[in-house]
Amino acid sequence: MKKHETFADVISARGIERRDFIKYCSLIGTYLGLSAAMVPKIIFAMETKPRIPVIWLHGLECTCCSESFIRSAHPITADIVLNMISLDYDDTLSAAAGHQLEAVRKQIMKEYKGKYILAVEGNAPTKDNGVYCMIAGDSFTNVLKETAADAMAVIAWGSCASFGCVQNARPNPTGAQPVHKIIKNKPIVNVPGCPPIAEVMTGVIAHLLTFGKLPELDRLKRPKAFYGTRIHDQCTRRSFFDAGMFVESFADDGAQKGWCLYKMGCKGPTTFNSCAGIGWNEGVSYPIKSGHPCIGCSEPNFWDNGPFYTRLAEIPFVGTNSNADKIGMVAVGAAAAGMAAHAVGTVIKNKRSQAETTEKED
Amino acid sequence: MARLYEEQYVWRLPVRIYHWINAICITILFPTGLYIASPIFSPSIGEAVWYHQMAWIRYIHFGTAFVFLANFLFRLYWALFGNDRYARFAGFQPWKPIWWGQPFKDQLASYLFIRKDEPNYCGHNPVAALTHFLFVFCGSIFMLMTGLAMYGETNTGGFIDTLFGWVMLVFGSTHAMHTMHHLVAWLFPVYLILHIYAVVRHDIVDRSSTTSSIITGYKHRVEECPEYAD
Amino acid sequence: MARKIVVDPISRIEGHLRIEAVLGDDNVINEAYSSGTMWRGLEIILKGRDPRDAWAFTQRICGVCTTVHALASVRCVEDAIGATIPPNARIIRNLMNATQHTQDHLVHFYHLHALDWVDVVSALSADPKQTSVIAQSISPWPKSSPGYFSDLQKRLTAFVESGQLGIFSNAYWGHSGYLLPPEVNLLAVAHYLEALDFQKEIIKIHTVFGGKNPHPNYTIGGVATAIDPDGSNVINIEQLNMIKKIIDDTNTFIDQVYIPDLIAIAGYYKGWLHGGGLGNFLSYGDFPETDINDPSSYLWPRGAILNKDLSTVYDDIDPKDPKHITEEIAHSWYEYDRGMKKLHPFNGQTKPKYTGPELPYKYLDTDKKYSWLKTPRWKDNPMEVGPLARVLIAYAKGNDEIVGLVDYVLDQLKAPKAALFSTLGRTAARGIECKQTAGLMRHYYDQLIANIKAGDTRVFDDALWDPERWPDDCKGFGSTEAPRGALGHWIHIKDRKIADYQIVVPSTWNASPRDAKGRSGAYEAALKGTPMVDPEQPLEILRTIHSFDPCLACASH
Ligand code: HEM
Ligand code: HEM
Ligand code: NFV
Ligand code: SF4
Ligand code: SF4
Ligand code: F3S
Ligand SMILES: [Mg+2]
Repeated sequence: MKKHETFADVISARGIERRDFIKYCSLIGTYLGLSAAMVPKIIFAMETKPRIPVIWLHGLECTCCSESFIRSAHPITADIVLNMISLDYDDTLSAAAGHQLEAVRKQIMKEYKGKYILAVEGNAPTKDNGVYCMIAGDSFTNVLKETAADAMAVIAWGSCASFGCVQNARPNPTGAQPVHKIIKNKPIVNVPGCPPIAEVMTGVIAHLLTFGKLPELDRLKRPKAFYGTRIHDQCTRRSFFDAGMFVESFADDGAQKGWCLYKMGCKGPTTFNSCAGIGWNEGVSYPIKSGHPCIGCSEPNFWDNGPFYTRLAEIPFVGTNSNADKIGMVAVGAAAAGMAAHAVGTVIKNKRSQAETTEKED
Repeated sequence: MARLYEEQYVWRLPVRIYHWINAICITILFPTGLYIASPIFSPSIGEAVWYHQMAWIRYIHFGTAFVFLANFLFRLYWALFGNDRYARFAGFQPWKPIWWGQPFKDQLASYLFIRKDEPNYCGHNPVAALTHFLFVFCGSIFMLMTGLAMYGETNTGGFIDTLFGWVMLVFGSTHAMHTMHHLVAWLFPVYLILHIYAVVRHDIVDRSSTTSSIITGYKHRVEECPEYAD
Repeated sequence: MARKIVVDPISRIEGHLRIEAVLGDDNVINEAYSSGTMWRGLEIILKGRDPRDAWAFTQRICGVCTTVHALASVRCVEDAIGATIPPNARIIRNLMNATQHTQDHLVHFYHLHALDWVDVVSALSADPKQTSVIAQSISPWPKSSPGYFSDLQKRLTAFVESGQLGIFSNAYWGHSGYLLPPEVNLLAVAHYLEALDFQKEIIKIHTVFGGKNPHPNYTIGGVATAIDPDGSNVINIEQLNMIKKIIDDTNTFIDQVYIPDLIAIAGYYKGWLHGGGLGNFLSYGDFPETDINDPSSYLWPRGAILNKDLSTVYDDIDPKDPKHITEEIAHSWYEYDRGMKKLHPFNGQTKPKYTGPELPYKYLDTDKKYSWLKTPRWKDNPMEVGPLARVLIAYAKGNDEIVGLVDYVLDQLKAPKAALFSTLGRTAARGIECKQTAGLMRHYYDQLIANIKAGDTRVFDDALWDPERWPDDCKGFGSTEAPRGALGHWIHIKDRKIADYQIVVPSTWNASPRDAKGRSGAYEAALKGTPMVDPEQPLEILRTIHSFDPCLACASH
C-alpha cells in the first residue's frame, strides 16, 4: 500500500534537523496568533497528518493571488505544494492540461468526496449564462458549483473570491459575484486582499492542516488572526497621525520624513489586514511604509469607495465629483436660503394681515 | 388694546437640561467630526510623539459622543417614564393616519402661507414633532449606531464591537459607513438652521416667549382682549 | 481524415485559453484556433473614474506581469495631461520594470515552461553522482554535490510513492517527446525548486519602492517613495544595500543557473524547430534613458520586422496614428457601432456580445466568432510581440550586448540564425533577455546611487497632481515593453475624468483570433505545421503555446 507521507517525513528526508522543524512549527504558531501551548499540537499534526487534497480553481481574476502564494517564505511554497497539501488541480501550476487535467479534478472529487479543500481564486460571472468565464466548454460558474458540492470547505482567495474585487466594480459588466454568493451550503473562509499576503494564505492552510478545521472567522468570514486589526492601529506612521503631522503632497517635506498619509487618502483607518504587522514579502515593507497610501485592497467594494487619493469618497448615488462635504454644504445653503425666503414671506404676510386689521378697524 | 397673558410651564428642568446638553454635544461633535475628516493644524517643529493634536480632537469627539449617548438615553427614559405632559412621545404616532390629519395639515398649510392664521401649540406642533423625530431622533440614532460601530473597530471582539459591529454590514464596508456617518452629520446644521428660525419666528408671530422657554421653562399664551381696552 | 482536438484548459499559463487544432492524417496540425475564454470589462469599468487611479485598476488586469499595466497607465495619463517626472522616478520605474522582466522570465522558464521539456518521473531513475558531474561541468553554482541531488531524489521518490502526485498528476511523463537523460531531468527538477524559492527574493525590489508585490504602487508624477540615505522612515541606506545584494544574487542566479540550464536543455532539443509562426515582429521599445517622449533614447529600440527579414527594421511606428494600430473584431465576441470593421484605440469601443455556442459545448464555431480577444494589427499586419521580437529587433539593429548574447547562445548550441524563428528560439530569446534585464537592474541601481550622491533625491513632481490644472479635454498614449511584449494604453480624459480607456496587450497580439481576411495571429500561425506524436497528449501544442508565455487575463481584460 502507498504510504501517506507526512510533512515531518519530508522535512527529515531533506536533512532538516528536528530542532529546526520545531522552530518552524512555533513560527507558524506565531503567525496564527496561537499561544505557545499550541505548538506541540502543530508538531503533532505535521508529524501525523497526510496531505490534504486541494483543488484550486481560477475564475474571473488576475492570478496575482497565485503569484502572491508563491512568494511565501514561512513556509516556503515548495514545502506547501510538495509536502503540506496535495495541490492536485491548479491550472496555473499543473503539468497536465486539457482533458487530462479535468480528469484529475473529477477523480479527486470522487476519491476524496467530502475530504478535499476547494480553493477559489477569482469569481464567477452571473450574467448571460456565465459566458464571460468558460473552462473546458462549460461556464466557470458551473464548474465552481460542481466542484464545491463535495468539498470539505472552500477557501476564497483574495478580494475577487471574497468580495468581488475589480471586475465587480461599477458597472460590473459581467455580473461578477464572489464565491459566497454562489456557494451557500459550505463552510467558506474569505482571505481578502488584492492580493492577500503570502504568509496569510499559507497560514490559513497551516491552520487547516494543524487543527483539521477552518480558523476562527469574523463577521465577514475572515480569519480573525489576520484580519482582526485595522492597518491604522498597527501602522508605523501612526504617531504622526495622532500628532496631526500629515503628508500633503508626495513632493513635500512630510513625505520626505515619512509622515502620515491620511490626507493623501490613506484607507488604513478603514482597512482590516496584516500589512503593518506581518508586512509584505518577508516583511520588507508594506504600501504605507513605502510612501503610498493604503487603497484598502482587502475591504469589500474598495474600488468603488474611491477616489484613492482623497480622504472623502465620492457618494455613488449622487455621482462623480460629489462628496459628503459638498453635499452637506449645498444642504445647509438650501436650508439657509429657505429660511430667508420664509422669513420674507412671514413679513409680507404679517404686513398684509396688519393692513387687513387696520382696514377692519377703520 | 389690552393683552391677556397666560403663563404655562412647558419645559420641565430635565428637558431643559437635556436640551442644552444635547445642543452643546452637537456643537462639539460636528466640527470635531469634520476636523477628523479634514485635519488642518499641523505642529511645525519637534517630534511627533510630543504632540497629540489629532488624537485630542478624536478624544473630544468620542468623549462628547458618550455624553451625547447618555443624554439621548435619558431623554428616551424621560419620554417614556417621565410623566411629563409635553415631553412624552405618546402623542407622536405617525404610523396612524389620523396623526397626519387636520392639525398637521393646518400647521403645514400655515408654514406654507396657504393658511393665514398661525396655530399655537404649547408643546410641539405636529410639524415640529415630525422634524424633531426625523432629524434629532432618527439622526441621533444613526450617528450613534454608526459612530459606536466605528469606535468599536479599534478593539474588535470587544464590548462595543460585539454590540454594534454588525452595523457595518448594513453599509457593506467600514469605509462606506464612515462616508455615511459623515454625510448624515450634515443633517444637524441643516436642522439647527430650521430649528432656530422656527423658534424665533414663533416667538415673534405668537409672542409666546418660545425662545426663552427652553431656558426658563415658561411659555405664554397671549390673547388680544379688546373688551379690556383702555 | 482530419480530426479536431481541443486543449482546454491550457495549464501553466495565466488565464483561460483554449486551443482547437485540426490535424491531418499524418497528425500534423493543419489549422489552429486560439480562443480566450474569459472577459472582465476593465475598459468599461474605468470610465468615469479619476485618471490618477487608473494605474491601480489596470494593474489588476494581471498579477503575473503585475506592474506593467500600472507603468503603461501612469505614462499614458502623464502623456495626456503633459506631466513630467524627475530623473529618479524614471530610474526607479525602469528598475522596477527590469526587476519584473527578470522575475517573470525566470518563473516562466522553470515553472510554466520547463515541464514541456523535463520529465519529472524520469528524474527518479537518475544517478545523482552523474547529475553532480553534469552540474559542475556546466556551471560553478555551488549547490551541485552528489549528496544534494541524492537528497532531492529521495524526497522526490517519497513524494511519488505517496501516490499523491499533486501538480504532477496525470501529465505526459514517459512521452517519447521528452529527450533529456534522467540525470539532466533531475538537475532541472532541483532548479525548479530552487528557482521557486529564489524568485521571491528578486521581487523584493518592488516591495521597497511599491510597498508590496504583486501589485506594487505607482503614482502619476513620479514615485511616492521618498529617498533619504540618512532618513529613518523612508528609503535609506539599509534598503539600498538590500537592493544591491538582491541584484548581485539575481545576476549570479541567471548566470549560473538559468542560462546554463537553458543551453543544456536546448542542446537536446535542437532538432525540434517547429513553432516559428508569423515572422512579423513588433516592439514599442522601452527603458528610456532620458525622456519617455524620446524613443531614440530607449535602451530597447522601437521597431518592426516583416517576413523574418532581419535586414530591414521599420522605425516609423506611431501608436497615435490611426493607420498604425487598429483592432478588429471579425472573430471576437464584440460589436462595433454601425458595423465598423477596425478602430484605432483612440476611437476604440468595447461592447461585448457573445455569439458562441450554447454552454456546455464541445467545439467552438471557429468560422464565426470564437474568442474574447480582439485582433490588433500594425499597418494591417499581424505581428508577434515579446522577447523574441525585441531580441530580433535589437539584434537586427546591431545592439552590441544582444548581438553578443545571441551569438554566444547560437554558438553554444551550434545552431544557425534561422533557428531563432522557432519555439525554441522564443524560449532562448527570453533567457537572453532575462540576462540582459538582470544587467539593467544593476545599471539603474548605479544610476540611482549616482544621483543620490550628487544630492538629487527628488522622486515626485507635483506640478500637475491637482486635476484643476489639467486641460479640460486631452488624450494620451502610454506604452511599455511588458515581459510578453508590446503593451499600449490609450486614454481620453474629459473634465478630469476618464472618458475612454483602451488597452491593447501583448497577449492580445499573439493570441488573437483571425482577422476579417482570415489571417491568423501568432499562436495560431506558430502551431500550424507542427507534427504531433500522440494527438491524445498535446505536449507539442503546450510547448509552442508556452513559448509565448500566454497571459489571457491580460489579453482580454
Ligand atoms: C444643536 C442644537 C440644538 C438642537 C439639536 C436642539 C434640539 C431641540 C429639540 C429636540 C427640542 C425639542 C425638545 C424636546 O421635546 O425634548 C428643542 C426644543 C427647543 N429648542 Fe432646541 N435645539 C438646539 C439648539 C437650540 C438653540 C440654540 C435654541 C435657542 C435659541 C433652541 C431653542 C429651543 C426652543 C425654544 C425649544 C422649544 C421649541 C418648541 O416649542 O418646539 N434650541 N430643541
Ligand atoms: C451629532 C453627532 C455626530 C456628528 C455630527 C459626527 C460627525 C462626525 C464626522 C463628520 C466624522 C468624520 C467622518 C469621516 O469622514 O470619517 C466623524 C467621525 C467619527 N465619529 Fe462622529 N459624529 C457624531 C456622533 C458620533 C457618535 C455618537 C459617535 C460614537 C462613538 C461618533 C464616533 C465617531 C468615530 C469613531 C469617528 C471616526 C473617527 C476616525 O476615523 O478617526 N460620532 N463624526
Ligand atoms: N500579455 C500580457 Fe501581460 C505581460 N507581460 C501585459 O501587458 O501578462 Ni500578465
Ligand atoms: S483579488 Fe486582486 S489580486 Fe487577487 S486575483 Fe483578484 S484582482 Fe487579482
Ligand atoms: S498612514 Fe494611514 S494607516 Fe498609517 S497612521 Fe496614517 S492614516 Fe493611519
Ligand atoms: S492597499 Fe492593501 S496591501 Fe495592505 S496596506 Fe492597504 S491593505
Ligand atoms: Mg482592449
